[in-house]
Formats: sequence, C-alpha cells, structure tokens
Amino acid sequence: MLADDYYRLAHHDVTGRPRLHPTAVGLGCAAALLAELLGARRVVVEDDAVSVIDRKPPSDSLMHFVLDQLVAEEGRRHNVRTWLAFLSKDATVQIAQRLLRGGHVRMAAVRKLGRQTGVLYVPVDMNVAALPWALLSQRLRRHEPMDYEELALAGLVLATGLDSFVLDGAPAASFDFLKHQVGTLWPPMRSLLFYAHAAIGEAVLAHRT
Amino acid sequence: MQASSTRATSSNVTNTLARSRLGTASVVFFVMAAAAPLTVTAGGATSGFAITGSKGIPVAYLAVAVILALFAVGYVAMSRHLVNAGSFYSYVSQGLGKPAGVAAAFVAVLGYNAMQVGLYGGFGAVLSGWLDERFGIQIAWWLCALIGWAVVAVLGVLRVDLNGRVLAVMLLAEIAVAVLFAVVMVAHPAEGGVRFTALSPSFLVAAGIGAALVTAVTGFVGFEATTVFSEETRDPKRTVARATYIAVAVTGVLYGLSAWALTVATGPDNIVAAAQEHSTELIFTLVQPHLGQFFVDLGHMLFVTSLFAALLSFHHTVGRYLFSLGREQVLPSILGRTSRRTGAPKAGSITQSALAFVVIVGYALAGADPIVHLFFWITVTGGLGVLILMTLTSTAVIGFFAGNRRGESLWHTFAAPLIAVTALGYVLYLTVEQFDVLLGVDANSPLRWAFPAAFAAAALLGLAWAAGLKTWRPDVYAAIGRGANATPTANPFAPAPSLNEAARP
Repeated sequence: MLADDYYRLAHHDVTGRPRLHPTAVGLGCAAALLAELLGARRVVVEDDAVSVIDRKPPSDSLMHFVLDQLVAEEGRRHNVRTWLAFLSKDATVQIAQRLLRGGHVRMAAVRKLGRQTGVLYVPVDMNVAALPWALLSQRLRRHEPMDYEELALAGLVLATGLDSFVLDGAPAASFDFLKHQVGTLWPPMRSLLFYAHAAIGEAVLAHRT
Repeated sequence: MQASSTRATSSNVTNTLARSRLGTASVVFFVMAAAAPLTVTAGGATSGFAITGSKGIPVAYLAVAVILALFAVGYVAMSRHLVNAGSFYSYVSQGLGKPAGVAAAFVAVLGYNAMQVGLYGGFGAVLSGWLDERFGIQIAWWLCALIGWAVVAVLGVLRVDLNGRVLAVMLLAEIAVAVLFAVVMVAHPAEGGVRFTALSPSFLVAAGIGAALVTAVTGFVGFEATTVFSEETRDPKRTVARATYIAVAVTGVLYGLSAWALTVATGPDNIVAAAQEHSTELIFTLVQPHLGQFFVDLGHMLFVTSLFAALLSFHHTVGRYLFSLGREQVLPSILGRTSRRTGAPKAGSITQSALAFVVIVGYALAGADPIVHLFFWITVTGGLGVLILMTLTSTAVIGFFAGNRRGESLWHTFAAPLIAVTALGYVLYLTVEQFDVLLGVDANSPLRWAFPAAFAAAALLGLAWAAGLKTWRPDVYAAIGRGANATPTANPFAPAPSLNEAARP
C-alpha cells in the first residue's frame, strides 16, 4: 500500500529512525493516507477542497478509519490544509501500527538516560523495508516508466524533500526526470501534493525561536 | 449530512487542531524573548546616550512605541488577508506591486543582516569585558564574538529548539532585573532629586532627535514577528493583534522607564558624559553601590544571554527571508533548501553565518571599536533598514485596502496606516538628515551618506532584479511575495493554469 511504502522510505531500514524532521514526516504520512483514499477513488481533491465520492467501507481498517473521519465532517468543508494538519497529528503512528499488525515491524523502546522516552517501530526484515527506496531509486536513475503507485510515491518523496535522499549522488538529469514525471500525475493528486509541499514550507517559516 | 445539522462545538478536527494552537501569552513570549529587553536597556540605551549626545532617548522610546502601535493596526489587519504573512516584503509586493516587493526584500535582507552582525560587537565586547573584570581572564572581544558566532552557526543549521520554558524564565528574569535596576536608580537619584526632564516632549522637536528616534526603533525590531505565528494561533483574528499591542506596550514602557531611570541616577545633565565614560557598563556601575555584587553579576549574565538570544533570533529571521526568497526562486533556489533531518533552512543559515564571519574578522583586522563601530553603528543601520521597511509596509497597507476594504474598518485600513506613514516617514527623514549625529562623525564625513546609500543601492538593485525577472522568468515574477506557497516552477505540483482553464466549461 502507498502509505506503507512511504513510511518505509521515510524511515531508516535498519533502525527505524525517521529520515526527515517530525513535521515533514507527519505531513508526508497524512498526505500518503489521503493519497491512498484518492487512489481508491474514495475521495477527490479539487483546488483546495476534499470531497467524499464513495462512502462504502474500505476493507483496510486504517483507510476505513480515515474515511470515517472525512465523512463525519463532510458538512464542514475543511480544506486540504486543515485535513493535512489534522491527520498529521497521528498519521505516522497509525501507519506504523498498520505495519505492526501486518508483522512488518516490531516495537522497541527508545531510552534516554535510562528512562523510556518513546517508541520506535523497527523493521523486521530490512530487505523488505528498503525495497520501496531501492525500486524507486533505480526507476528514477534509469529514467524508466513508472506505474501509478510508483509515481504517486515519487510525488510524495518530492513533496516532502526526500528526493535528495532517494537520488543521493544522482546527476541533475535524474532530478529533472523526477520533476517531469511527477508533473504528469492526475490533477487531484498534484493538488494534494501541492498543499503538502506548501505546508512543510510554512512549517519552516513558522519555526518558534 | 447537512452543514446546518452539525453543532459548532462538535468538530473533532477543529478541536484537535485548537489544542496545539498558541495563545496570546505564548506569542508575546516568543517575540519578546527575541527582542531581548536587557540588550536594549543596558546596551542600546547607554550607547545611544553616549554616541548621539541626545538626552531625549527616554521620551524617544515612548514616542516610538506609540508610532509602532499605530503601525501595528494596519499591519495586523493586512496580515489576516495574506499568505506568507511573516515577512515585510510580501506586504509590499501585494500592496505596492512586485518590483517594490523585491526592492523591499533586498532592503530587508540587508537590514536584518546588519542587525544580527552588529550584535556580535556587543556580545563580544560585553562578554570579554566581564570575563576580564570578574575573573581576570583576558580574551579579545573578537574571539568572544567568534565563539558566539560558532554556537549560533551550529544552532542555526541544527535548528535546536531553545526550550520555550527556558526562554520564558530568562525573559521574566531579564524584565525583573531591568525593573529592579530602574527602581534602585530612581530611589537613589543624583543631586537635585528625581527629575522628569528626560521625559519632556520638548525633546521630540529639539535638534538631534532623529538619531534618538532611530536608536529607539532599533530596540523594538523583532516585535513584527508576531504575524509569523498567525496560522498557529487559536484565534488568528484576535490573538496576533493582541500579542502585537502587548509586546509593543510592554517593551515601550520598560525601555522608556529604564532609560529615564538612568538619567535620574546620573542627573539629566550628566547622562551623556557618564554614558561616554562607562559605555555599556553604565547601568551596572550605577546600581553596584546599592545592590551588591550578586545582582550586578546576575545582570551581566542575563545581559550576555539576552544578547545571545537576540543573535540567534535575528539569525533565524535572515534564514527565513533567504528561504522564502529561495523558495520563490527570486534568489537562487538553493537558498530554499532545508536540512532533511532538522528542517532548518540550511543554505540560508550558512550564508548568513559566512557573512557574519567575514564582518567579525574584518573588524578584528581593522582594529575597530566593537561597541561604537560594530554594535552601535551597524545595529542602528539595521534599525534604519527596518524603519524603511515599516514605512513601505504602512504605505502598502493603504494600497492593499484601497478600493476593497475586505470587511475591515476605515480606521484599520486607512486612518491608522496614514498616521503611521506620516510619522514613520518623518522619523525616516530626520534620521537620514541627522545620520552624522547618529554615527558621531563630522557633518561633512562621507560615512553619513554611505550607510543610508547602502539601502538605496539595495532597493535599486531589487527594482532592476524585478525587471529582469519579469522579462526572463515571468513564472517566477508572477509568484513574488507568496513564500512557501509559491506556485511556479518552485513547486512542481502547482496546478497548470492551462489545464484548469480547459476543465472549465
């Protein structure tokens, strides 16, 4: 699933530590969840509005949960920015929990000075965890055509600033290829990614000093 | 489900988001901690007395607080209608046109850089003087400044959060010490008792007041950052406005009274001579006999930490400006890069640090005086830049609301900004006219024109740059002033306009 792949890309394949700063991971995961619903034609994004077009319960429990939230507040017409900000609060943990249920990660305690300060989701199999990165990186470096799922993942990577990691050391042509390919995504997905990108930029500006 | 059938209080989304939002007090703390009150009361005010030779510094602080409160009326009103409301140049570009916006951006980058780099002079000199006096450790001022520089450079790239609580405690301690010192000085007046001469409004029309006014403006720089947090506040309509007025009022009263207390303790007629003799040590020298060593040491320590907080905060301001401009591709897009791990505007931060390093080393090699030539000259030049920006921004507010008031009152959109433009413009005129007094140089010295001319050059360069962008990069030109929301090539996901139009029937 798209969000699982994005989560794996955004976290270290052995240690499970995030590769991005917390705000970007949160917003990226939120965008990935919305992108899953978008790809399953459950919702559609037009300009900055999110609307539900199919409210049949999805088979995946997390998608079901997110769609429920969207349906419950349909009448309020929150825009994409609001949804991203709201979903980003829990999106990372929710996706990690889904991976945990699927047996892809295990929980490990983070300790500082002997006290537990948090939880890390450590991949069970580093080969599986590194797969999305390896595939995407090869596709982009070889300028190969990509299917929708890969393209959507590439879009999330570019929007959240992971491109410098995926294309580490690649020639400028690969970055241009990435930008060009992402530009061919369908408008609702591009719209979603646009707001995710802008929200991460705003977070840089509104940093509290 | 119908919108009307949902109760206003039951939105899970709204409630969840509201929980993490900032209240008025938090915004005031963030902004005032950056403005670092002790830097101004112990450093800015005493240097101002010494170099400008004006006794009107206290009343200048109060007058500037009033002007800035008027400025804030229109500024805050416009911030409600903007994206990228955190930076002056987006106001100017949306109120006065994009060429003016780019010119304002260049002035801002120069002005805030000057503020930040100038503070290194104060930081280095104060720290080295204190270490020498208390511990007998002799370190050159520039070495102290470079140590501070190294820490700021690292914190800038790593973007380590200075803990909000630590900042709040430091800020409260600074205010407490400043108030305590002021009370002690007023309680032990010089011969002739407590006199209010220095608060006399007659100074506002006396010769040389321009220099005092821009010194005062310099002390307030930083309060304009309240709008940066507008999207994160609980009630953007009111929280930002309230926080801005509170910040201006508290700093204004604190600075004015503290500077006045200095004149009481020395006697209004001796303040200039005393300030010239003791420089930034004046306030500590005056309270030492009455308070004892502990409070003087505490004051010194807080003076150094407040200078450091101000350094870090202006460093972030410059980084933010460069990031915005890089993201819009007005400046090279590499400046829009952020660090993956920390989200710090890495390239902008490194650029600023490099510039500061060159200036500190240059001053050290030239053997210039850190307090007079670096701290005072360069920070008031930064203050002049911010004064220019505020004048432009006030004009932009009038331009922005002309024709369409967008539901704001006439006072917010026209009357207050107009008074602010007039007042700020007059202060600006006085400042430039009396820049020789401000620098303490001869009236015929070319230096008096060099500093203001730097801003004119930056503005002209900005106008030329905007013209170039319009010709060669129309997509970039179209998005000037939108910061992280920039739509052109900067954001590959920008909806292609042709597609959108094609989709419409």
